[in-house]
Amino acid sequence: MTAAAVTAAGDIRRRRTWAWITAALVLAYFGATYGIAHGTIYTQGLISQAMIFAVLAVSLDLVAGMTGLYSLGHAGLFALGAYTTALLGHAGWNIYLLLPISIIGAGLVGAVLGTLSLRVSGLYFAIMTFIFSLVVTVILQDFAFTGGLNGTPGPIYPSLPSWAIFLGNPLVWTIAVVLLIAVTIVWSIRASAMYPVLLAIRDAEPFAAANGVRTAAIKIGVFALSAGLAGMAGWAFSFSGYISPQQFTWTTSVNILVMVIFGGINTRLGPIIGAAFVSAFPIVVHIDPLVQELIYGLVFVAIIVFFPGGVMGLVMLVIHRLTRRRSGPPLAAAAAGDTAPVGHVEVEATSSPPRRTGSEEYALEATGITFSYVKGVKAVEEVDFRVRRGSVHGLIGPNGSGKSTLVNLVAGRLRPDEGTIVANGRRIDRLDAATRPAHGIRRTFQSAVLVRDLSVRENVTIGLYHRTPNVAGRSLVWPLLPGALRDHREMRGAADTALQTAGLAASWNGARVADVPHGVEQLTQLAAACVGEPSILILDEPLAGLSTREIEQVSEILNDLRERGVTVIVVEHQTHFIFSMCDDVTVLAAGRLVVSGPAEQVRSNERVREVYLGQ
Amino acid sequence: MSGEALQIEGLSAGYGRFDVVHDIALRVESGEAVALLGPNGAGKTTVLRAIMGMLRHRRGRIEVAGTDVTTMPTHRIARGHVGLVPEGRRLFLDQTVEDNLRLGGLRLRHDRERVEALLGSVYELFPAVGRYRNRPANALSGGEQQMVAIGRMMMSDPALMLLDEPSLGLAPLAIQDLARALTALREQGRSILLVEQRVDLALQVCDRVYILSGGRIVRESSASTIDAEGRELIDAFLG
Repeated sequence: MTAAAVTAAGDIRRRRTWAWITAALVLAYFGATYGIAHGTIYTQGLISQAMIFAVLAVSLDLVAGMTGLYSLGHAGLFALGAYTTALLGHAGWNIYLLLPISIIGAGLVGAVLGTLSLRVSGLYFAIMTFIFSLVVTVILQDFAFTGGLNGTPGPIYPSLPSWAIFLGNPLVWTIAVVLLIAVTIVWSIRASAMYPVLLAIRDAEPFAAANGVRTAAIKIGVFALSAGLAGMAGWAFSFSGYISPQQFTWTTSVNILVMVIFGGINTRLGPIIGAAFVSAFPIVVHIDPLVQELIYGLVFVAIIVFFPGGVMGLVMLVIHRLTRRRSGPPLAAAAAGDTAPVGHVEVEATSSPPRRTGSEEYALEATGITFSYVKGVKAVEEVDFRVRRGSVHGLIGPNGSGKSTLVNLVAGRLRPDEGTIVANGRRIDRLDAATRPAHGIRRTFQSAVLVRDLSVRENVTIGLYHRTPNVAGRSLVWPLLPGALRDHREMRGAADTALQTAGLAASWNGARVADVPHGVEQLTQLAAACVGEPSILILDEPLAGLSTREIEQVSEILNDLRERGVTVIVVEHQTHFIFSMCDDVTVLAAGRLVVSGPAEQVRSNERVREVYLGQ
Repeated sequence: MSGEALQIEGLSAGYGRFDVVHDIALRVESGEAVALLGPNGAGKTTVLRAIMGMLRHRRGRIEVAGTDVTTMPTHRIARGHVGLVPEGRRLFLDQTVEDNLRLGGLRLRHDRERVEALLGSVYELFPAVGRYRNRPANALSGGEQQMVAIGRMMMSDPALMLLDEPSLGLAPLAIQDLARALTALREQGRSILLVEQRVDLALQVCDRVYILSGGRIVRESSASTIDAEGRELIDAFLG
C-alpha cells in the first residue's frame, strides 16, 4: 500500500512538472504566433500555409503511421472543408458555425471512406482513396456552383474587436489554434493506452480482435477523425483568398504523404517538420524552377534512402549515438538475466474471475461442428467438443487434423458451417472474434501474433483493452484526464505482474518484441491472454520453442489457473505435458473426433496410439 | 570421410551494435550431426544466422568445407551447399506447396532430373506434403508447414544442413519421422547442425552436443556420454 502511495505521489510530481512544461510550451507557441501575426504579409502567408499543411500531415499520420491506412484522399477531404466554408460563407452562413459543419461533414465522408478499409488494405486502399481525390477534383472543376476551374473566392475573415486588435492578424491566430487542436488530439492518442491498440490493428489484427478490440469500428472511427481534422484544415484554408480545384488535386494528396514520410512517419514532430519543409522549400529557395525541382527531389530521395525514418529518424539516430555510452545494451542485459528469479509467483487472490452463474457442468459445449476452408474438403466434420468447467482440457491429434481450426471456431476467427457453440451458457457461434472476450474467452496463437514495434509490456497492456473503460473515447484528451493516467499506470503495473507470473525476467519487459527470442514471444502472448482474466483460456501450442524450465513455468501457471476455476483448453504435441497436466483430452484425426474423455483413458486408447502417439 | 564441414573460431555476432554471442568456437565434421542446445535467448539462432551471412555485425572466422565464408553474402553461402530451415518457417504462403519446394531447388534448376528426384524424396519423407502439393502453403496446418520448410531446405541438396527447431509444432509421430529423416540424411554423408529445444530428439540424432548459455559455449560433449551421465548436465544448463 505504501509502495502504491509512493508511486502515486511520484506520479503527481511528474504530472506537475509536465503541466508546467506544457504550459511553457503553449505560451511560447502563442508568443511565436504573436510575432508571426505582426510579421510581413510574406512571412504570414508562408507560415500560415505551412501550418495548414502541418494539420493535414498530422491528421494523415494518425491513419497512415499509427493505423496503417495509407490514404491518398486527404486532399479531397481538405477540399470538402474549404469549399463548404467558401460556398456557404458566401451564402451568408456564420463562419464559426461552418467550422463544426466542415469538421463533421468531412468526418462523415471519412467514415464512408474508412469502411472501404474493411474490404481492401494496403495498396488497394491507397488507390481507392486516390480515386476519391480524383472524383472530388472533377466535381469541383465541372460544376457551375463551385466556380469551375476559376474557383471561388473564400469568405473574408472578420477582424478582431477593438480591445484585441493588438494581437495582429486574426487569421494567423485562428490557424495557430487549429494546428494546436490537431496536434493536441493526435499527440494525446499517441500518449494514450489506445496507441498500442492502433499499432496492433496495423500489424497484428488477429491479436487485437482476440483482446476484444472492434477493429472495424476503430478503423472507421480513426479515419473519420483524421478526415474531420482535414476538413478543419480546409475551413482555415478557405480564408486565404481564392480557392480553386488545382489546389486540391491528387498531387496535393501525394505531397501530404511525402511530408509525413520525409519528416518521419509515426513520430510526434516528423509530420510538422515535413510540412514546413515541403511547403516552404519552393517559396524560400528562389532559383531556376527546374533546378529547384531537381534539388527538392534529390533531397527527398537522399533522406528516404539513407534515413528511412525520415528527418526524425536521423535525429533519433544522432541522439542515440550521443547517449550511447550511458545506456547499456538492452539485449545483452536481457540475455544475461535470462529467466525470472526462480520461485513461484503467487497470483493475486483478488484477481480471480467472477464465477458465472448457471449450474451447467460444461464451460464450453460445441456440438456437431463442421467447417470447410475449400468447398468439398471438410477441415472439421461433425465434431462434438465439450469442456468441463474449471478443467484443463487437452486437444491433440496429428498435424493437419483440425485442432487449430477448431480453436479458431471457438475463438471466433472462423464461423462454423454447421453446429452450435455454447460458452458459459450463451450461444456464441454467430458472434465475431472481438466480442468473445466479453464472454470470458481469450486465446493465444500458434505463431505468436504480436506488435513487433512495441515493447513486451505494451503488448500485454493490449490484453487489458476491453477491461478498461472507454479507452478509445478518452484517448483524444488522454494526458488531460487524471483518471486515464491512473488507468494507464495500472495497466502497465498489471502487465508487469502478468509477465512476472508468466516467468519472464523483468529485464525483458521494456525490450521490443522484434528483438526477443521465440520463447519470450510465447510467454508474452500467454501473459497478454492471462492479464484479461478470462474464464475460458485457449492456448494453441503454448510450449512450442520453450525450454524445459519454461515448460515447468507454464505448467505452474496452468495449475494456478485451474485452482482459480479458469477453464483451459490446450493444443499441444508434448504428450508428456498433456497427459500429466490435463484432466480431459480430446483427440482429433483427419477432422473427426477419435475419442474424448479422462486423460488416462485416452492415453491407453488403442486408436490414439495408432494415429497419434506411435508405439 | 574426413575434414570439417563447418569450422567456427572466435565468432562474435549480434544485432545493431550489440553482441549476442561471444567468442564462439564450434566445428562440425563432415558427415557428423551436431546439436546446439541452450535456453531461450542464449543466441542459438544468432549463430545460425551468422553462419548464413545474415548478420552484418559479425567478427571471427567461419569456414564451410575449408572455404572462408566470413564476409560472403548469403546467396553465395547458400550456393556453397549450405541449407537452412529458418526460425518461423518463412514459407511463401500464397504459393503452392510444390512451388515453395521448387524454389528451394532453384540452385539446381538446370538439372531437371535431380530436382524431380529430390522432390520425390521429399514427398516420400513427408507423405502429407505430397498430398497437398497443389494447395497454397497457408492452407496447411502449422505442423505441415514445418514439414514443407524442411523439405524446401532438402531441395537444394545441401552438404551442410542448418536446422532451427525443426520439431516445432510437429506431432509425436511426425517427430519420429523427422528423426528418421535426419538420420537417413546423415547416413548419406551430409553434415547437420541442429538447434533444438527437444533434447531427446537432439540426442537421438546427433553425435555431439554444444551447450550455449548467455551467448557463450559452456560445454561440449559427445551425445552418448551425455546419455550416460543422465540428464543432470542438461538440466543444469537448460533447466
